Amino acid sequence: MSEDLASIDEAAIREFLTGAYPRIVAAVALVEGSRATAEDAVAEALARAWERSERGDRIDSLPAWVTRVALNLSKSRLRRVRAETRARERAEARWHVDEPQDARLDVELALAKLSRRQRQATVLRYYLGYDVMEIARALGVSEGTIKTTLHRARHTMAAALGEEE
Amino acid sequence: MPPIEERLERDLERAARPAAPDPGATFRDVTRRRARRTTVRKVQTVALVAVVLLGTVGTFAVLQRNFTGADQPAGGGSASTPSPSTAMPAFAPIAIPSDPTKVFMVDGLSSFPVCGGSMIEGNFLGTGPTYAYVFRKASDAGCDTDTWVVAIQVPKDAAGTSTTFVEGGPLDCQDPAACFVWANPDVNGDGQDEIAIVTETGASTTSFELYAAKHTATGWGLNPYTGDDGTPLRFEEGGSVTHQAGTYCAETAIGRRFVAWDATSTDGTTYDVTETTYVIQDGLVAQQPQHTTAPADGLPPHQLDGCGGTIQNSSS
Repeated sequence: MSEDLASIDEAAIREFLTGAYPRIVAAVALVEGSRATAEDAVAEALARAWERSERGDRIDSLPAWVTRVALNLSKSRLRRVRAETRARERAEARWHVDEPQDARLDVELALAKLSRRQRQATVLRYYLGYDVMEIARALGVSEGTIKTTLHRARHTMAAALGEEE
Repeated sequence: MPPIEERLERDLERAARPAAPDPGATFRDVTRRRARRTTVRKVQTVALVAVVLLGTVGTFAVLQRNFTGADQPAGGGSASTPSPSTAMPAFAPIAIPSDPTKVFMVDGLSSFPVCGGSMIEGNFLGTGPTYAYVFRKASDAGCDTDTWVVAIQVPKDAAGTSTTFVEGGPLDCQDPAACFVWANPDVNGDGQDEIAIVTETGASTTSFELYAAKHTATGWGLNPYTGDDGTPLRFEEGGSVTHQAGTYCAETAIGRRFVAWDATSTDGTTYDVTETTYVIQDGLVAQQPQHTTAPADGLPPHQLDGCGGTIQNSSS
């Protein structure tokens, strides 16, 4: 997260779209299991960042801000979907997918065994390469909580993938 | 690097399959969304100004009528009487089954069955005791959804002759076994309790969110205190030798302030403490964090110390 932007304009948005955008969409899609939800959330987060910057708010790192807000927005969107179908939905249905089950990789199935926060922390750490402090800032919790969350996530993932910790 | 970490990096990279972006189409989409947000914000501003103006004019008219009436002879004026909207029924708690898997209906709640309820009494409306609840929604198959709501009992009508519920949420419960109404603090000292709800319980740390009831022209509503991204603020309590967190309230010259703190240590004796004070401005707004160091026995208060109300440490 080395990109520092005090103000966001059209050039910054275009630079973001040709730079960090694909990986952030992929990261949110890994967390949510839905690329459509991820693209929608990232676009909305980007629009909010642009609008906030125009109002004078400072956003130091556009990729970090968009990642954090997109993860929160995608959660809200899933909540709305859940609310509509709550009476019929079973617990295992919370993992939304765009593809048939058999097309998914073992690691995706293992991710589905984690809690939302564990999935977020795992993807930010091992896909986007965030350190513990950056994950804590992105998810709005303490570094100690992130260390515990990652430890538990690794334990679950190792068991699911048949790998040593 | 441990084998599982290498495996995760490799497999997540493969699973991510970043799509080839279409920057032009995405840029147009972002531009359209920004324009829509700008328009909505302008409309909201105009609506807010109109409401404030109407409220001011209405208040002036009411005051003028009341003061004029006070000068009139007894029996001939418009004596001021309590607003019907302030009438409150006698709230009684509903019976929650001791079996958390038992599905039941709550009269006055939306037309869905619930299970796994918890309850606390508090002054959540600012008018006297009522009750707040956390319920897990049930499905046709039983107590098996991951949707949780918070609800409080409120007057059903302006006359206050019966009660109903308003709902908030859904709650982001990380663990179905650890999602319950925890406490009834008054974090801003306005005489109206907030609802503290535990949404995650770890080995040594508990996370909670704060909800508050608010009365508007359309009736009572129940909403969380949110951060600048619109999602509920989440606070932590507890920790280990290397990490501690807590919340408390402090009385200041300008009123009660809610403080959340976080402390880390490498040796278990000296802690780097970060305290964030919140003020109420249409919600909880964080002020600039303060950084200090403290010994293990000099950490800030915790468990909503000084916030009033009671704490119950489980859903039972």
